[in-house]
Amino acid sequence: MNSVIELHNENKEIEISEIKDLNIRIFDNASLTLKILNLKEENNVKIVAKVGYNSHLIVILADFSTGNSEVISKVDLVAENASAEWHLATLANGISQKKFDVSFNHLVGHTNALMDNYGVARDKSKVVFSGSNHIEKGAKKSVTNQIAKVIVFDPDAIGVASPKLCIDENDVIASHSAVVGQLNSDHMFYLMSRGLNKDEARELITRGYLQPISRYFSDENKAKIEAAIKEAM
Amino acid sequence: MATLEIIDLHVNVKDKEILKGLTLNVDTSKTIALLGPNGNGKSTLLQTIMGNPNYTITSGKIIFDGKELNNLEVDERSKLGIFLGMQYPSEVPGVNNSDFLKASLNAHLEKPVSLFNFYKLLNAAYERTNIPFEMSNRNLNEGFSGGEKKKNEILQMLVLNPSLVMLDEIDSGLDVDAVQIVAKIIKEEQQKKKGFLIVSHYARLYDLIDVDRAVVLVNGKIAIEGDKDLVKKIDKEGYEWLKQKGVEFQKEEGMNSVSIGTCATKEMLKDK
Repeated sequence: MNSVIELHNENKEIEISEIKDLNIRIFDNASLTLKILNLKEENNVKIVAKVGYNSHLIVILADFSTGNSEVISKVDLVAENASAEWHLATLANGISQKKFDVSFNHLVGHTNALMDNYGVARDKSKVVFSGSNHIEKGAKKSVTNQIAKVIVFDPDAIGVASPKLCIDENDVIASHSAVVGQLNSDHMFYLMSRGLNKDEARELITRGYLQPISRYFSDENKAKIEAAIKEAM
Repeated sequence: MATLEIIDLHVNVKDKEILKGLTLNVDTSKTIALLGPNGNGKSTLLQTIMGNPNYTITSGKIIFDGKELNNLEVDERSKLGIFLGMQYPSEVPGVNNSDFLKASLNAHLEKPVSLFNFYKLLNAAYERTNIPFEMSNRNLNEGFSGGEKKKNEILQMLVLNPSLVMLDEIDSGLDVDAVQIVAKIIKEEQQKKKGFLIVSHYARLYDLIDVDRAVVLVNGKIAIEGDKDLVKKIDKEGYEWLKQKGVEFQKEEGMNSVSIGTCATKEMLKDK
C-alpha cells in the first residue's frame, strides 16, 4: 500500500497505528508531524519525503512489533529553512531482525536535520541503524545531527549503529554519535543498591531508554507502548 | 540490636588486594567515623558491604544481623536494611526520579505503597532535604550538580528508611548550608537508633553530628581506633604521626593518576 501526502501552507498532525509506504511532499510554509506506532508482526516499508521552503517534517516511529522490520526513510531538504526530524525507539526480541536505514539530504543551505534512534536488542535479535546525512555542495549553514544507540541485552543479541555523515560543504554544523553496548554495570549496581532486583533494574533502565518516545503519542497509544515494553521484558 | 561483623576481610579490585585482613564489629545503633588517607580502602569497604560486583572477596566474612552477606545479591542486602550513599552517584538517563523511588520503596514492602502515602512520604523527604519537589520529576541524577546528587542520596535514604547507613564522602560537593542540612538529618536519624558508617575527609561534618567511634583505615587494615578526639587529632595533624606508632603505610608504586578529589579505587577500575 502506498500513500501520498501533499501539504501546502498548512500544518498537519497524523497519528497512525500501522506503518506503510509513504510518499510525502511538503511544499512551502507547511508542516507535518507523523506519529507511527507499529505493533504489526512484519514490516517492509519505504518512506520518501521532500521538504520545501520554510517547511518542517517530523517523523516519530515507535516500533514494538514482534516480527521483523525493515524501514527505509529518505528525506530531501530541497529549499532554505526546510527541516526534518526523525525520532525512533525500537525493541527487538526473539529472533527478530530490525533494520532502519534513515537518510537526510541537505540539497540547499540553511536546512536542518535531526535523527535520533534508540534500540534495545534482546534474546537472539538484531537491531541495525544505518543511513547517511549528506550535506551537498552549496548547502552552507546547514545543521545535521545523528544519534544512534543500541543496548544489547543478551550475549546472542546483535546491535549495529553505523549512520554516516557525508559533508561536501564548509560552514556547516554536523554531529554524530553512535553507541552499541551492554547495560551500564554502574547503573545496574546503583539501582540494585536501592532494592531493585536484576530484572526490575533492567526493566527500569529499558523503560527509561525507550519510553520517552511515548510522550509524542495519544494516551491510548501511550498505554499500548507501555504494555508492549512490559510484555517484551 | 543489629550488628555488622566484618571478619578478616580480604578484597581485591581487579587483581590488586585493597583490603588485607580487616576485622570490625559495628553496633548498628552507633555512628562510626571511617577515616584514612586516599586509596587505603575506605570506599572499597563500603562498596564491598553493599555488594558491588567489581570488588571481589577473596577471604573473610561480612555478617549483618546474623546473616552472611558474602553471597547475597546487592538488592538482597538493601532489603536487609543496608544503604550506601555513593561518592559518585550514577546519572541514569530516562529513569524518572519519583518512579525510581517508588519502585525502590515497593521493593522493600510486602504490599505496594498507595499513591497517597507515597507522595506524603516523598513530599516530607523533599522538604527535609530542602530540594525543590519539582526535581522529583527529573531523570535520576541526570544534569544534577554535585551537591544536588549528594542531597538526592540523603533523600533516597529517608524514603527507604534503612537500619545501617553508609555514607561515602557525602559532604564533598555540598555547600555550607547543604552540609548543615545533611548533618541535621543525620542527627535526627541518629536519634532513631540507626547505625552510620561515615567516610569523610573533613572534621566539619563529624563536628556537626554525634560520633561514637573513629576508625582509621591504612593499607587495607584498621590502623587505630578511638573516639571523637581521634577525628580532631587527624584533622589537625594528618596521618603521618601514625608511622611513629608502627603503622605501615602503602609503598609508593610509581606515578599514578590519583589526585585530590579523585577516588583511588575508582581510578583503578577505569583501566578495566
